[in-house]
Amino acid sequence: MLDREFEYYKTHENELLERYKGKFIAIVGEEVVGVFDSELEAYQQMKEKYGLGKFLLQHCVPIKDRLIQRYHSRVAFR
Amino acid sequence: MRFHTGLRAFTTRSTGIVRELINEIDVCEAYAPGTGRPAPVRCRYKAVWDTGATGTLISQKIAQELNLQPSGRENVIAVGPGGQSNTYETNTYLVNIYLPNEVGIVGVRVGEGEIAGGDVLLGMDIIAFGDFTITNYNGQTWWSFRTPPNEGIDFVEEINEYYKRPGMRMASLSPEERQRQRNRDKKGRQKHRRK
Repeated sequence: MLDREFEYYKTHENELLERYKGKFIAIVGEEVVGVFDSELEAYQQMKEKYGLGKFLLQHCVPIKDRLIQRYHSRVAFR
Repeated sequence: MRFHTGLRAFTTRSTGIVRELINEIDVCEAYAPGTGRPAPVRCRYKAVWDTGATGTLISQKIAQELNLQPSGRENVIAVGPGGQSNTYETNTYLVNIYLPNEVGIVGVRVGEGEIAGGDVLLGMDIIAFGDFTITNYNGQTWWSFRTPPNEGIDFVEEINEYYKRPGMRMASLSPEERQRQRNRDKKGRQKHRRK
């Protein structure tokens, strides 16, 4: 789920960063369908418009500023 | 001490020393209270506090029970035995988290994973919303959390203040701590002079 949207973000990251730096963007398929200042606002509006699970929210910040979550114990991922 | 407006807090008191900090917390799909929208279903889960986790995680069980749908994907790094780390891609969800005593945190982006000992892993993203202390005084582990952050907590300063009182003798500090104390005093004097 949302693989296509995440892949789109990753392959177009540089241009999206240039355009929407610091904003939260909503992606459906391979299209940016919304630009927001807060993730919660984006979530509520996109949920009403597209339904849950149909859009990907991404914070447009450079990789160096983006926190990659790190877990030192207790956790397993599939 | 001064208290910030809207300060909320809780304290958990165990009857012995504990090796895990576990609370019952509520989780629901993200929504902004006070907007008139109906509140989503809220369920109670076992949560483990983990300062070794940069972010908060929920189990797949929670996502299913609350009927959550992912709103993002992210890369995560799990550090295993021997410091070996593996990178994974996981779903993320947007949720509200309610700690004990109705200490609510709205719109938290959480990842999904399997968590040993609980259903939620409360990471440093939640801890960073406030002040967090742990004490083991009298053989009992108590932990307390307040949000927003209200005041610095510095045990060294507390001890120093205590021994500054008339008639009190300074506690013996380790050579390293004495050096740190001298550096702090020096910095304080320099700052004062600059003013």
